[in-house]
Amino acid sequence: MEEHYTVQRLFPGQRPNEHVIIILRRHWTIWFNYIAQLVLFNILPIAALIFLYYVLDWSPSPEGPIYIGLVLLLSMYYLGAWLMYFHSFVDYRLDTWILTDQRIINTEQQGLFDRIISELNIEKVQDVTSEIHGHAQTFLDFGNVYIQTAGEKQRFIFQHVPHPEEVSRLVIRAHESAIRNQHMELYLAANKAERDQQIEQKHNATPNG
Amino acid sequence: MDIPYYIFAIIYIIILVLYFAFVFFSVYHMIRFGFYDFVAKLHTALLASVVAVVLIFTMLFLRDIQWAETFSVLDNLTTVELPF
Repeated sequence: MEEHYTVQRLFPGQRPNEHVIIILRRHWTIWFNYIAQLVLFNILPIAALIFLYYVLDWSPSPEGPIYIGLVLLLSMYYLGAWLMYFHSFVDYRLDTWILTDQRIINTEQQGLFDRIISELNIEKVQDVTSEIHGHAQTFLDFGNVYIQTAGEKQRFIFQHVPHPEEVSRLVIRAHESAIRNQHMELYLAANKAERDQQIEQKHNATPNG
Repeated sequence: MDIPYYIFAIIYIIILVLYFAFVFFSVYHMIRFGFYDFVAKLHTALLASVVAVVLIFTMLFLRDIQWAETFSVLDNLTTVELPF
């Protein structure tokens, strides 16, 4: 059966009438660390070769086994360094926290073949806490958001997310809105039952309809 | 013991095959879980470019090698000049 979306579809598994409030990832400084590591790994062999060639005056014979081994080793080193960065990027990209008007979805990519997805009904949120620690987090406004739940998983943690205080406010507002909607639905359902009963009584009281 | 140079190439190619398998799975995960946006595509293109450059330079540096030739491990261990 084809699903018809009334809202923009932003992630796989999104329900047709589900509104996405925010999609969170870890702060860009985490990504920046990976880039810094990559730059360092790229520079190291070049620095080592310059040192060997110019300072120690050493260079292998161009067609000997050491030369071949060195070239292939350097090739594998650079390929490996970039693959490591790409893998870190994929890990960073696929670790997401999605807040919708119906639920909170926590997706953690652990390695290449491990993926953990936790989901919480927004009405089951009990307590929300945001934390910012240290100079870097204070100046760049990122930190952790802890969500205490009444679900099977007791606690959701949004790690190193930007604007944690605002995020915690969004979660609380989404929770309150969901509770209000739930009460409204119950009220309307109860009222509908009462109205239906009154109509039936009226119908029974006038035999000619 | 005489070892042909192409042994190095065979080992390198085996590692390359594993490498491309890892790259494939990384890109597959991004597409599969719905986050293959502009930034992800840019990174994939960047990685592809870097891999191409590294492989081209590797071939350039090794283009004059006679792969069928052999070398003796023992001879090289005793005669190679190390920088230290």
